[in-house]
Amino acid sequence: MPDNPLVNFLRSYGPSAEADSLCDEHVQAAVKRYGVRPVEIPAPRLDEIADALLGAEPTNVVLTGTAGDGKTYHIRKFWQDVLKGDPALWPGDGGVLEARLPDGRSLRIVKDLSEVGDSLKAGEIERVTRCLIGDDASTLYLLAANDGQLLKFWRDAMEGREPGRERDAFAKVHASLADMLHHDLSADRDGSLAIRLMNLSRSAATDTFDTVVDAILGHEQWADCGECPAASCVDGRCPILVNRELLAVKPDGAFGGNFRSRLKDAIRVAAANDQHVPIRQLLTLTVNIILGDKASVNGPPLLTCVKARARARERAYRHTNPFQNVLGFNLRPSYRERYAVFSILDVFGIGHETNNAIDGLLVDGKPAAVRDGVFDRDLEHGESLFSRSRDLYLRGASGLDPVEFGRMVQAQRRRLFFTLPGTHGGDPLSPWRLTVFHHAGRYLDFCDALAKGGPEDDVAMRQIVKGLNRTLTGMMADDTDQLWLAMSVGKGDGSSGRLATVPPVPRRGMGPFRVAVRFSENTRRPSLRVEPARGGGEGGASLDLTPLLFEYLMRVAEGSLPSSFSRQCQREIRHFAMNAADAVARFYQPDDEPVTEVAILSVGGDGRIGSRQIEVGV
Amino acid sequence: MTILTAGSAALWSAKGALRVPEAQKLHSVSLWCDFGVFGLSIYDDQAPWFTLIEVIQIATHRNSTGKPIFPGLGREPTTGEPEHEILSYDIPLNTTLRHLLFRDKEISRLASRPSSDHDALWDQWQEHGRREFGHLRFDYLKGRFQCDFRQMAEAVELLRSAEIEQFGDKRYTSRHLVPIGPSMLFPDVKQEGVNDFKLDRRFFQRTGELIFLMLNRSRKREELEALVRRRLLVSDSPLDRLAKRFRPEWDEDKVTSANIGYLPIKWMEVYDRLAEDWIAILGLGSLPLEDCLDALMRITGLHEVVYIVERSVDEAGRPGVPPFFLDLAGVVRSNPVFATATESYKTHRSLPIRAVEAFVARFAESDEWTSIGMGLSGAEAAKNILKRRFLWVSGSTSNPGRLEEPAVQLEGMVEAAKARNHDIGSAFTAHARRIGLLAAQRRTGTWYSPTDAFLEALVLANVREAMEFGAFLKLLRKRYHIVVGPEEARAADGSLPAPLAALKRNEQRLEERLRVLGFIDRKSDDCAFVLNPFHRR
Repeated sequence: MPDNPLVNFLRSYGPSAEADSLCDEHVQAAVKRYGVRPVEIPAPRLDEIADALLGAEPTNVVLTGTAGDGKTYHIRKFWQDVLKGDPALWPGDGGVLEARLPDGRSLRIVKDLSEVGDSLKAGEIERVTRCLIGDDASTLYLLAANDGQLLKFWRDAMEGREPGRERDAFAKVHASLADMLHHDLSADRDGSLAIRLMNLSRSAATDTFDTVVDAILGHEQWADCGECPAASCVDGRCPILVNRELLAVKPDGAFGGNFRSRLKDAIRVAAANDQHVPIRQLLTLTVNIILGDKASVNGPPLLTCVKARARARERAYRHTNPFQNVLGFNLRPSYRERYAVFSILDVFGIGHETNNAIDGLLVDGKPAAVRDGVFDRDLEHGESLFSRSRDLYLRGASGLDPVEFGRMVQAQRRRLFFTLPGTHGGDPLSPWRLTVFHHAGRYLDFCDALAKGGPEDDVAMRQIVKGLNRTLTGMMADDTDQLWLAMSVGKGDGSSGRLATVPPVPRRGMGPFRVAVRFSENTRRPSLRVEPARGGGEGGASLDLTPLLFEYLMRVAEGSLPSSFSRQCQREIRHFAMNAADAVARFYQPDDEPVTEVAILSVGGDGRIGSRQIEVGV
Repeated sequence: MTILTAGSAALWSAKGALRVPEAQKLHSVSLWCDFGVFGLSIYDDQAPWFTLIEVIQIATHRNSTGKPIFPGLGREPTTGEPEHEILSYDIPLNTTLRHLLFRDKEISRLASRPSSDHDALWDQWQEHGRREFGHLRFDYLKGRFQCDFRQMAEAVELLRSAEIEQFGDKRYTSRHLVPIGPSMLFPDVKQEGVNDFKLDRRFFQRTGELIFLMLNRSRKREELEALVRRRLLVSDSPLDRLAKRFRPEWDEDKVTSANIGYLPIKWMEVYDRLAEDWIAILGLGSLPLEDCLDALMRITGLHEVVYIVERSVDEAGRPGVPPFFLDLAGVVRSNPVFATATESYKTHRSLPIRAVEAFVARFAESDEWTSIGMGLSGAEAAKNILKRRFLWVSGSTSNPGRLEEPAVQLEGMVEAAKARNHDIGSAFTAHARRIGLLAAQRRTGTWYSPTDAFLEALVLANVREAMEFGAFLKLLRKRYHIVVGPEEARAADGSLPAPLAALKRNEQRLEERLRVLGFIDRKSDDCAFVLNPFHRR
């Protein structure tokens, strides 16, 4: 029985020491070794690079992003595929590759600025600076570096100089880079630098995810598996193929095939919380889902064809469970920790978070309609793994190890998270109830509606305003139509207060200010704003609505106080409210004329906030 | 025997210090050591809020009398040489408001009654006032609040919520409000008669005056003056105007603080840094003034503490300023940084004594001292010199025949300086604690472990545009000798005071704590920014 070389090839993308260090180079070697066509890794920003360097207004390109985002890969693609450069010259002398652009300008390609030797780096940074500030238009740069390093290089250059023109130039570049990185901008705000900054960590997370998964699942050499008996056998099927299919199934709207879309959503939620998964880690993740194997101590964590057949014979699917693999549970804890993707997914608490409805479904099988969908499918990782223990538990049998049973329940909850159908609103059987982000599904809907330019989700907006009012006043208020920018007098450690020096801001209606929400293209997140009703946009204050903050506001609006992350959210909300109150006050008192009244807030019997004015005199 | 007066000009002075002005009030000083080195005076029982209030009192007086707030160093009229400032200031008594806020108990009691008959409430309250505090008049208040008794009660409650340092059983004339505006200021006084108040310096012992002098001698004083006027001295805060509503039409009189305290050194970098931080914090237009003041109080206390360390190092002639190692975990167990932060505090705590020793040792080498003869006349001369130069009279000198050797007398003086109550070291500890820099726990010890409010003040004073976390750490070391992580530890000391991993973890904890406070934007593994949400571009 011949093994499929694709399996061994894919293992080289999985969690392994070599794969961690040098992805691009490592894969080239694996391609030669296994004679398999490489997985087509996306270079989603290649066109943009080509456009910036070769388009109507050529400008310098600076690529940044975390390790594993494909900076080197993008640059090599541009050099080989767009410029048709000689692969033998790659990557150039001392880390710099010199090329000529069609318009006659020279192009300096630096695939990683931190790899340029110390003796040359200072000179190179000076040269880049000249090009950026427009002192040298004959040369363009295509340059990559991690964001932190990029800033550090220019900061060091700046601090190493005496005050003067050169120092000013470095300072200008440093300040602009910091501003662009901080605000996720691709161009300098005042346009005085010739630069296009591309942060590969800010590429749309979901597109990349699909491309990577498709590239792996759709590889033509999967066809080789057709000859393998383990592929066709109904009982005891190859776990590699079982896992691949689970990941491949498209959402059917009813049940079962939500693995891929749910994972994609989770990665999207993480990205919106500023937890970005680089491409290299997406590859690792996908391979680990398909090939992951919970081996005995020190065994390899990934399947080979031989091992897969053995697992299939023994029906040992608990070791190859993709719903465990996706969270890296096939790896030793110390090894698992090294992978950002697993720590990012860990934050969701999948397996630990639950509620009565979901545990009722798992143990008692109620409600039946949902149970049938969940239990009848994917028997390998569902019923056949769990039913015996569950029956023992229901009978109160003494032979059941409670710790082991607890672990099984966790594994089943993980499976449920990736299989339950998506629901809207506050359904207790929403898969997101299995995470700390109970409202993540709603959050994504909220974002999608905004991104499409549709009307804002009125229900969500009401909840948001309610959550804000409760946070700011510290009272169980039910106001959903206007925002009270309340403060306290004594400085009680960022606490809430019952004093308002500006009138409440309505969500809609006639006032000079309103509470609005907009989708920010830069951050790819909704941003809550208190802004002038006329003119919009400029002026006012904004609050970045991350999934974390959204979750906090929803829970507060529902009457609970999420303790673990509430402090940070309260602080962010308070900062926002202070800035908003200041903007509103400046509108009402444009000439620094003082306010004449302050309001003391209280909640009436109807749950609405009432205010009692106190005249403060002039 | 020459008759010696304790003329201020004869006092022994610190290296490069300004002459003590002739008019300096010294009647309560019996030992001129700490004061000569650090100034008159930094006082442990003057809480940092009280220090800030004192600064604002001076500024308020100068503003209301049409003087420049920060006129700069004084000049000797004939030679034009710089000399110590000679300033005095008045503080209005603000008697009625102080009474209503801190002594009256009737307003709240009456206002909580279900009665809706406001006239009756006013009558009862005024009747009570006449009975208990016959010298005070409240009748004008009824008109000010349109006969609405509850509105007045609410206003009183609101103002009371702005009280600071609300602990201990202080006399009502030592209770104070956040100094949001001129109407919310009160002098700290002793009541000696119905309408007789005396500035007794029970809590306000000129620490704020020294801070005022530092600001006055900074090179940023003009820039600061404009901001202080715009934000601290105009009465546009609603609370301050509410306070003003209680002021009677008649003059409530004032007390005068004559002869501002003594600050020895003409210029130190710390004066500029102090002024820079005041400018940064007062410049945060969208930050409510209450919050500005809280940050200002902490940052001012920090500069005071840094001043004590820098001044000590300078006077004692030590090579460098030992850093402030901050422990961010706030726990003792398996935390090597705890030990470092404890050591760091102990080092600082011992510095003022070293400085005083050096201050006296320098005198001991002077011709004036070394030329004193031996025997009875030498001992007598030593006694007189110490009285003249250090205001020091040993307790055991009643019998001139039993006077000690000069060297023993000198040593006795140093010992007395070390044993003094309310010495500079106590102020260092007390103030470092009150601003949230220093933690002290029974059985655990005392070590640098900042509170959230302290960290917040650091961010507000130092961050404008988003700043890389590493740059922020560097700035903390450069401006305050504060060290958190390994890189700055190495830069400060050349070596690591704790294991690298522990320092790294300490640094991560700082980031984590700042993140929870809403001041961090982490972009990637490699890059995090510290944000000041109140900075306007």
